[in-house]
Amino acid sequence: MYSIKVKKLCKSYRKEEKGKGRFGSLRFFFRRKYREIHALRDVSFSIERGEMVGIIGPNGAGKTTLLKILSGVLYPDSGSVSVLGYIPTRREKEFLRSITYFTGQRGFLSLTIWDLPPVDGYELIRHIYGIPESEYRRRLKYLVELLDVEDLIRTPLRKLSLGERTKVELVAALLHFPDLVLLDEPTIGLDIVSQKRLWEFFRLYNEERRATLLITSHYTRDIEELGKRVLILHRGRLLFDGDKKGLAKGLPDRKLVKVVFRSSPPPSLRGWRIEGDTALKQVKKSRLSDELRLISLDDSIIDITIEDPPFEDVIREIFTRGEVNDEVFDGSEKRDQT
Amino acid sequence: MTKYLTAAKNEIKLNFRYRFNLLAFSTGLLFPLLGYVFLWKTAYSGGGRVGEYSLNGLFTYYFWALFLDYTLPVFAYGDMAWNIKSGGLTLFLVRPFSFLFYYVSIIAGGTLVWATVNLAVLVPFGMVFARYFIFPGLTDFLVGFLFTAIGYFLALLLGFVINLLAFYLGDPSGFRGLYGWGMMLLGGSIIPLDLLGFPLDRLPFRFLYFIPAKAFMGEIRGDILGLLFEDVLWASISLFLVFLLWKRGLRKYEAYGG
Repeated sequence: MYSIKVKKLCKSYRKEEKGKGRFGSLRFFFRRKYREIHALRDVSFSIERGEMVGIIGPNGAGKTTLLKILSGVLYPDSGSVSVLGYIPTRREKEFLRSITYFTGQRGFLSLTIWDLPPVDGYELIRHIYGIPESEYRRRLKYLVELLDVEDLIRTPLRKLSLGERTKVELVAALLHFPDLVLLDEPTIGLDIVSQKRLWEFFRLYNEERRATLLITSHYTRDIEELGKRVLILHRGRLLFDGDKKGLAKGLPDRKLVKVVFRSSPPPSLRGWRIEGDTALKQVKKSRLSDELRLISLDDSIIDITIEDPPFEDVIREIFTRGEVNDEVFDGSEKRDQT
Repeated sequence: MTKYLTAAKNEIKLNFRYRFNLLAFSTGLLFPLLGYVFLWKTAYSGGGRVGEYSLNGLFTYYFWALFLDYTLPVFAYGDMAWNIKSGGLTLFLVRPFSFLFYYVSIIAGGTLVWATVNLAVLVPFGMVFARYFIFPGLTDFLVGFLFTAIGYFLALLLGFVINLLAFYLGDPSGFRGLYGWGMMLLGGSIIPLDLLGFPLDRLPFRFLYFIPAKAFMGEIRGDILGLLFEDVLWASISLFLVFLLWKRGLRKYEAYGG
């Protein structure tokens, strides 16, 4: 049974564009220029009930736009969308009772009860969804224990840290036990330990409640944490829809190593790209320790960071390896995957 | 309905969170009133007269106008426009919870607190200066209360119209300022409209301060029904505009932010 069915979905925005140069702002004041942004282009997919699906893509890929269309907030320009059997933009009460949209950037409690403790916000949520008192107590206990926020729910929201706020906001987003959970970058800004805990929580919620979860992230490393199935969005196009194991084979076997020197990098450094006092190199994971051993002999190093390669490079690599149809990446029409 | 009552209850709690602010704001209400008392006392001491007003008439007018000024939601809730501009509206749209009724509830909750505290500050002040104050009879008080209630609704709706312009303009704060400050002159909060020297009878704004204040003073007895009709008509037009801007605005909403 389908939870979500999307067919040939398109959405564009008009974005203001300020002129360049010294008088750009002045020209912009008198005459506005706009640019058309294609947030989603011809996106089609379907998701079955109880699936946990990750949507990966760089910033501006269209992930948030997609979730906002699925939740009925934005109107698509063309294409069809069915969510739990409803047309989202009609925003019928039963539909709204069955979904939740959560973003790590801000929450409903922050907007409504900033100076009050979360319990006051939960009471409001209880009445919004008409949850009976005893059931509300049971659900609150379940979520509070699962997210380990017992000590936080009676402290004014503004006094909580970002990570703590994210967790108490999640309780608010899930109190009505939705069948469809749309999570937009839910772990943004959190430390690794909190991120791990949240991923575990999402998996548990998915298993215990058989809810459908759609989670977006712009970190390629989150592919490991997300459900079995991954969608990759890039510049508004759906580039990949399938099992993450299949995708993992296509992921680059490299890390980006950045080494910052006290002054300029030594001239003896070969095969590294030099940017000011920083040397950069993409190194195969198997060669990482050897490479670090070699470079760490230099005592003028003040910082070393190891990151995933830029998303653009990852996507390019996936497609040049031929894991998916590379015509798609070049901008031609994507094959229908439904 | 209980969801909106809970929202109003939370707003009352939020207002009491910073108790000193409540008291400080309401005490501030006394400063312009004191200023007016001394200004008009000086003006009248030389035997002068301002229009048809006696000193007591002017004091009473400003008493009511300032009370209305601090109670009506004219400047209130700019964060409604901010939520539309910044994407906070999204978190309301994904719930079975009306954004507009949410604001009606919290504005009502806030008004309950502010009107009570304002009265608590104003009544002792009125008693000290009781010799200048014209007390309303029961009928005048009820008529004044009725015009205040409709004026309150009108101010709320006009405020919504301005805030909903955020769908179209992005940031309507300039319009909100123009509207708020303009209201003080066109509504009769700064100067009674019959002293302005030019007619403002065709605008809805006089129903915010001038007409309710005059009703409390028992000076509109001749045409209560005609004024009530006009007041309700303006409120209905504003209500229609709110729904129109909301319905069309939602299609233009760009839901910025995560």
